Amino acid sequence: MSRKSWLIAGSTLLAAQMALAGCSDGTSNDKVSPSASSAASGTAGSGSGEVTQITLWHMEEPPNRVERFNEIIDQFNAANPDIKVTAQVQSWNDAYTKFPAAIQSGNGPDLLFTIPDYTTVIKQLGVVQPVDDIVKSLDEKHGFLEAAVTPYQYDDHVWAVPAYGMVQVLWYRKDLLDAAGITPPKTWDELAEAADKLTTGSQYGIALPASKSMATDQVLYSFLVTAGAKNIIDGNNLITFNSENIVKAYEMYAKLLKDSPADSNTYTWGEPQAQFNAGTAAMAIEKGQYLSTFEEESGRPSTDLGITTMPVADGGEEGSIYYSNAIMMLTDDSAKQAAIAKFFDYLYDPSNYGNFLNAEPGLFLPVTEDGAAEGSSFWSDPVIAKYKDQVQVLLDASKNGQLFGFTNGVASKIGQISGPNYLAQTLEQITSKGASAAEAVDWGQNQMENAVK
Amino acid sequence: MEFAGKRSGWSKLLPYALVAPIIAWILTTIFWPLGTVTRESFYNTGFVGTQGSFIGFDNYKTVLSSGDYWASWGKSFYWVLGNGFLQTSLAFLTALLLNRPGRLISFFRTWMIIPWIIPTIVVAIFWQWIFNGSYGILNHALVSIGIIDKPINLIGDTAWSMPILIFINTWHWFPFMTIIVLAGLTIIDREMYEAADVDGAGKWKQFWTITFPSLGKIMFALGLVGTLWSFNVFDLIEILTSGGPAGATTTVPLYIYQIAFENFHIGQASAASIVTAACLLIFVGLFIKFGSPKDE
Repeated sequence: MSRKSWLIAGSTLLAAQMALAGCSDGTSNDKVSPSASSAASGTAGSGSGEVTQITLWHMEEPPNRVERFNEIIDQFNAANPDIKVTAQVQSWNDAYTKFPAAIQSGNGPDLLFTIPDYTTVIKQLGVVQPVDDIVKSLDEKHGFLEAAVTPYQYDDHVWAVPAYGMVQVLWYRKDLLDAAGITPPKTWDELAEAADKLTTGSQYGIALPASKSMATDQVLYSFLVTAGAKNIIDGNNLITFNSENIVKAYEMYAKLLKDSPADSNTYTWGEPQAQFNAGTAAMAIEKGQYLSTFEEESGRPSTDLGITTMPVADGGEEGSIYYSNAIMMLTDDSAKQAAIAKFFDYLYDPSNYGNFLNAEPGLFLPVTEDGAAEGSSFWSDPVIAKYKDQVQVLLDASKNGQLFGFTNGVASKIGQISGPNYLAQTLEQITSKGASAAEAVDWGQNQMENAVK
Repeated sequence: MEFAGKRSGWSKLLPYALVAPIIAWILTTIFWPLGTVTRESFYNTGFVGTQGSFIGFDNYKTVLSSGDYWASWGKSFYWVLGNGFLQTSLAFLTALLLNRPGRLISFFRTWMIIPWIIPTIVVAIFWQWIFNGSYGILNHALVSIGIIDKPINLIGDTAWSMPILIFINTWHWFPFMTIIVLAGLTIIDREMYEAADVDGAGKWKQFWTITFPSLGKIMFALGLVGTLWSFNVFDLIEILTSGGPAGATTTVPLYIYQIAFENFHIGQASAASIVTAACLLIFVGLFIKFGSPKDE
């Protein structure tokens, strides 16, 4: 073979390899049975006297959350010498790309943290075990909130045990609103007026995410709910996105973006909070994570952290996005399942549950009635105690919480809508491509219809 | 030869045994994934790990008729040409400046490679701090000296995001090209320049008649490999813009990733990969046919 031929062959191989490398998931379609998965994950508890090993994957990466989860688990392990739960921290970035391959190859966990739309996706692998008995038992003892369980209840079973809820509210800087003589907005008109008035000099009225991200999806959905347009897809995966109220919601969002920092279209979760704490933005719409960092990052007293429920449009309804994070059981080993049931019993005991929730005070809200009751461990955390009134607003807001894909039956293909962030992409049509809200929503309807085909 | 004819059976097998591990490695790491992707391209597999059904060439029809796919090719052309032009120009300029003796030159030759050895994630964060629309140093400086009155959002602007990414990637990779060009410059016979001086040729003419032609083989190799590397850059773009805003920086690798792992169409993404690989193979063939330096 001549040198030139070798060069051609080598370059050809290089080109093919480089182009194809990114797509291969490295797995075949041959499924590994759940039992094989269980066996590979290291069950040591089938016989009596042995320690049952349970592996738990969660995606709560901040060190404070990891530390608290480990504390709870260590306490459980100490109280149950025949069971050893091991928590492993994972990343949401790997949830859709690497977890399935790990699960299929038998290297997945026995327990996996989840959110409602992720459950519909992972369930397709055929390894998620129904948890009806566990949920029923816990419900009898502690009383689950209906909104927390419903998104996991379909195909005649419950597919995950709700762990904690998250809800969005309107946060405002009381010091900045007071200085401008503005009362906390309750309606969209008041919100727009306040944002406009508070935008002055280097200060912005509000900080909103507008990138193609889950953060933007969620804030947008809170506007959809309060516009009276919470149903965008039904239980038969029929898309009902193109409606007058949704156009109205996008118009409102685009209008508010004029009072939000210029680089809002690069914002996800952290940036609005940073602007809010820095006093550069007077308002933000987010979940309860604002409590724990406010004083330290803003240098302002806790009384300056204002909170109110999501402002409502004329003819809209009260509410905002709410969803429960939950835990899926992926093992069908009966010894492990029994150990897992014991672990859940321990976790939801009101004396332990609050400590678990306060891994991130204010962000993780109770999904059981006794978990939120006066005197439970939830209220003993110093941050929760300091911001008691704000936490109560979050708990009240949870009662009107909604989640797209789960408001009109359970849409099994909601993952195809949330994965590509079509709600946020629809906004980008307005902010980056100059489309009108009506054109953008029409575009969104078409994209979503194609996605669920 | 008589000696060869008397070799034992083991001696005959030895060469094959020696190359067997690398052949096995190539089969495992190249042809097996390639086979998997090719197979998936004929299935309607959605989410990773699920079982799709055979659908023939439907995925190929979808990809070839997809406006978004071809739009991503447009972004990739922009990306590759922008990087190619900037990196080549900068590398030549730097290499020519460093191709001379001197203590300071030696210092710069060593430290010039720093951008190249910095991990991509650090490069991305570093430049994000500079260009960020709210707290970026660039905005702060421009506002301070009164050139702008409000921060500008370069990374989040549909017109500016791609040029900014090209600039950052060029900053990251030009030292590598500089080293290669510099290596080529050092082996050019100095006597050729001295002869050109005697003949009265200026520096510009010397560059085009001596320097540039002497680097032909190096430029050919860099052009081929550099284009393929550049085309397949994923990490920097994903970290800085994730293909946004509104798809302004969605190059082909980003598009394939999004189709596979955000839209959950593994089969379609596989077909897009195969089509892309075929296009790159055609490029390689044409580049070798028309771009390879002629032996004199």
